[in-house]
Amino acid sequence: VKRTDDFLADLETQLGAAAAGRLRRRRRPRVAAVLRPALVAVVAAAAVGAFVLADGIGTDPERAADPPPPALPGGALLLPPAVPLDDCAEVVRSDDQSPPQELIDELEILRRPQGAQDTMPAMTLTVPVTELSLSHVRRWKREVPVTLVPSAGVVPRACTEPDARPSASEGPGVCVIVELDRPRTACWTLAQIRAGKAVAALDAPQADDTDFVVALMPDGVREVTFQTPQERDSYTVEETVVVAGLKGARSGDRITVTTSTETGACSDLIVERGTVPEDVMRAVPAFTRGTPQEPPADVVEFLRRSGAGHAWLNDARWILPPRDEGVGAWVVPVRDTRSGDCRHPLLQRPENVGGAGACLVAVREDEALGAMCLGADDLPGGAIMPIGSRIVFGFPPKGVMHARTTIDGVPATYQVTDGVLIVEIPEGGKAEPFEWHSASEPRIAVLNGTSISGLGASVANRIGAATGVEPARIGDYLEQTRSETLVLAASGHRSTAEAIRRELRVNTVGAIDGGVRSLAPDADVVVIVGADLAP
Amino acid sequence: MTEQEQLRTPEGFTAFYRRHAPPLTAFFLRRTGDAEVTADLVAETFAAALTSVKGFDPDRGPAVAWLYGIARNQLGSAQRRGRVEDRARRRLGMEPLQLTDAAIERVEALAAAEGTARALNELMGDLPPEQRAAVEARVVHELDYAEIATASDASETVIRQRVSRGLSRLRSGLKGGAL
Repeated sequence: VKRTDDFLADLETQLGAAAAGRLRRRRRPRVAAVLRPALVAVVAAAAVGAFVLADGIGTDPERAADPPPPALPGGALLLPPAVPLDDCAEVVRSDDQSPPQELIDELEILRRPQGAQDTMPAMTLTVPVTELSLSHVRRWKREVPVTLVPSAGVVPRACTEPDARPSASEGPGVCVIVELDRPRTACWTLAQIRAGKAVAALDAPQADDTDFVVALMPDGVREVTFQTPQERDSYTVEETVVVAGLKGARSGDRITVTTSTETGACSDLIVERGTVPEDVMRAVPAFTRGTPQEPPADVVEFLRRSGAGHAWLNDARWILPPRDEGVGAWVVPVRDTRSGDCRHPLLQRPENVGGAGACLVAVREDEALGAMCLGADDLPGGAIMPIGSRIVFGFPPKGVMHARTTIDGVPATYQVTDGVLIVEIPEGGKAEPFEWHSASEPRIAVLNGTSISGLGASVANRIGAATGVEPARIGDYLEQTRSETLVLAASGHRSTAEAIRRELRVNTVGAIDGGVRSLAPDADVVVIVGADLAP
Repeated sequence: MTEQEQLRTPEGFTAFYRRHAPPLTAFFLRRTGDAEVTADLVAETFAAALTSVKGFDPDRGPAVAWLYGIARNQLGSAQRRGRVEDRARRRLGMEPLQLTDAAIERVEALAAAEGTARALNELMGDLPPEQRAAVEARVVHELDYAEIATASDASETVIRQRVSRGLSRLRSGLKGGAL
């Protein structure tokens, strides 16, 4: 504590120094890949009830090399036609049958709320699907209107092979109806869409010999390039659908499809706007507390680069641990994520079936330091990981409130905040492997028995730093004239009280009496601060 | 340089502090009546502003509105918890400042001066335009009566009357409890 005669001038000096350090600080290069294979072992250990961080802390962990970039959707194919709807045989159809969730999960346009424009075009009774849900129809309205009809069963042959049995479903997929000159349709299975082969020629040449193709692209594809013998052109994918004008793109022509994502190896981050799944909300207490808010751009970019898949950015929460040393964490609900890099379904199928989960991004001064993601199934078991030699963070197993370690031979306990653990090891310190600790910690109350403002809080800080247990209560004692500090303990909490006595250099530890008990009813140790601890 | 860009430089932030620290001190002292609590709140508010300066969005309003938003949050939090938060100051490694008696007097005097200035500002706004212009020219800009008369296209006597009447109104306004 510094005494000041001119508060505003001294505060200006302090703030000026802090501003100089903070606003001129050079940014470290960001970590691109953060999830390591070793984490898988950690997750497994946590799942059986306890964990030991195998590497220990205090040495920089080796980072696994980025995985080789998976193949992106696309390839060469002979263009099938989008056929006039009139040519399609009528299919025996069940109405009000929802399409499978995996189809909705794959195509962004199917997840947006249905609007007034999302209706079937007139006179389209013969759309070749075995099951239809009008509430899942979506209309893509750009230069050419395209209606998407997702279904558990698409029957493309009903339109192309007069002798085919129209009931021969090829499984889940989407039929599109394109209203160019007359309604035409093309249908693809989910597998074809995922492979980047959902392309069809509209066979409606324009005056300048331009032909049109329609294509559906799975989530994650940002740009698609079509190449015919006569022309090559690239298109940005907006809401799943692409309609491209190309010379030499009639049915039967050869076309090459090349796709790209914004981040190369990892696919683009897809922002979810709907309701966060219940199992994720329940698994991380942070999601039911605090204010939902969108992380800053740097953190979003980090999630993007980490291949977090789909993220409910608007429902993220900011977590600051009780021992705020400047490191906090954003916890973000996500979907289609697993321990590993590039978890987007587009790129790591079939391993990526994790469904919903949460990503944790450790942050110092808005700069993302590292991230980890767990699926809803793994969250109750918890996991933890280090970033470099000083940061440890993770999700604890369900119900666990503390993690313990030893730093340079001194035991340290860290509190879990809203279902998240984030710890910064003191500079130069070497920490042993962490262990989760589920037994309840002693509750410490600090009562200020002096009239010195803030003295109780500063003593509480000392106690927290010395014992690793943050005082649960800081308040005023009955009188503010105490000269000597008292440390009082309830039965069974003498050792904690002794540790506090040593830290505060108080002579003895007493027992909590009735008067003090009324001030701190649930405390195991009570410290009544006297003027002897004044700075 | 925009207000946002200025705030993100050490010099700009310091200038921002100099401009707004005195009125913010008065703001807190009026609400708490305690110089030490006020000092804690001022320090924590500016520290919180510094730690979140990247979050300042000029589209949502000027920086002063953003600052007072932080200030109101700090005040509300302090009233709820019975103590002033010190998270931002700890995060910045700022040493706690304990006010000596002299510092307490300075804070109280500054708040009083800010209060007077605020009241004067309001009273000035209530003056007839020609009196306000004459008072500003004479008192604030320290011009001679002759210079003011020339600039205003009025006689020196008229200007003297306007200044005299304006000051008289301000005096009676302050005595009447405008503070």
